[in-house]
Amino acid sequence: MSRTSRIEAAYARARGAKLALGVLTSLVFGVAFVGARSHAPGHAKHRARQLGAPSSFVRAVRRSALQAGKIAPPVQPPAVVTSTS
Amino acid sequence: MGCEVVVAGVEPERVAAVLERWEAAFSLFRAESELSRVNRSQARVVVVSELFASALRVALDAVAASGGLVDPTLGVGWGDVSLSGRLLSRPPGRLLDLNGVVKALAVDDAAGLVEDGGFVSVGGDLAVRGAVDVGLPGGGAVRVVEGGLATSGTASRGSHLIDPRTGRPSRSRWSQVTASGASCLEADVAAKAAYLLDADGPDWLDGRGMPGRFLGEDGEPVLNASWFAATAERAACT
Repeated sequence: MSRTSRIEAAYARARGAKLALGVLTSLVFGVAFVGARSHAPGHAKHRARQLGAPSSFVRAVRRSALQAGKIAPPVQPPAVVTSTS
Repeated sequence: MGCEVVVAGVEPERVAAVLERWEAAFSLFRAESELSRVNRSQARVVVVSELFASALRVALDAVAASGGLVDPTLGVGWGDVSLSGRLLSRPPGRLLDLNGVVKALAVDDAAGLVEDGGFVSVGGDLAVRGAVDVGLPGGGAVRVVEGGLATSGTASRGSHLIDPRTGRPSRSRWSQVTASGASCLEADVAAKAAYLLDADGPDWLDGRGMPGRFLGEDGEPVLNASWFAATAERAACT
């Protein structure tokens, strides 16, 4: 084999190795990226949503408005008595 | 619950079973109740039952609704009590007392079993299904058309209400305050808050459109504007 063809063969092997290394690196990055998105708590798993008040806060505010009952003048003798217990 | 239960429109045994379920979970006088176990636990975070979590959620809502006047922590502050799902977090040793809301919740729960025209009354706090005439402290009566009616005060047990603002037994010019709410719970929270607010109680209830009747030490009833408007006999048409 001539000296030139040996050098070309070496270049070809080096190109192949670089390509393989690039593909492998991209693959590892891709797997790590997807894995991190789905498992690591610091990464968003879903599309970002508009910020809103927590439901517990909304419930507390809603309940802050106590609702009145309905009363009327009596029409019969009382069936029961309200008192402190 | 150690108080008189009066029912109509439902079998008493069914109401007794509902009340027993609440009593078993929330009695401070039963060592095996869930509330007693939670109060004994030295863990900062404890897992509670769905029933306990829902009652505590209501109690914390009652804190908000009453501006902090109805407090589930025996008057030592609710700020560091939090609930996330069934996880209850509070400083170990912080004693919870949900009885301020549990009796009313049990009444509302039991009232779900009642037929039209019936009612459930536990210790004088009641929820109705249809119009029921109810006797009032100091005499007189009112027709409860919808929701619940509750009375709070010191007439029967002395000064047992703790004022969360001071952590001491309450002082109020009223001996008994009766309020009408969309449920027994709302009536109960409103009556307790109005009692603790002393002279501001009638206006506080009026600000929420809630009827309130206040009995002073002299036994003379004072009606807020909402109660007066709802119960004033209409002038006959001529």
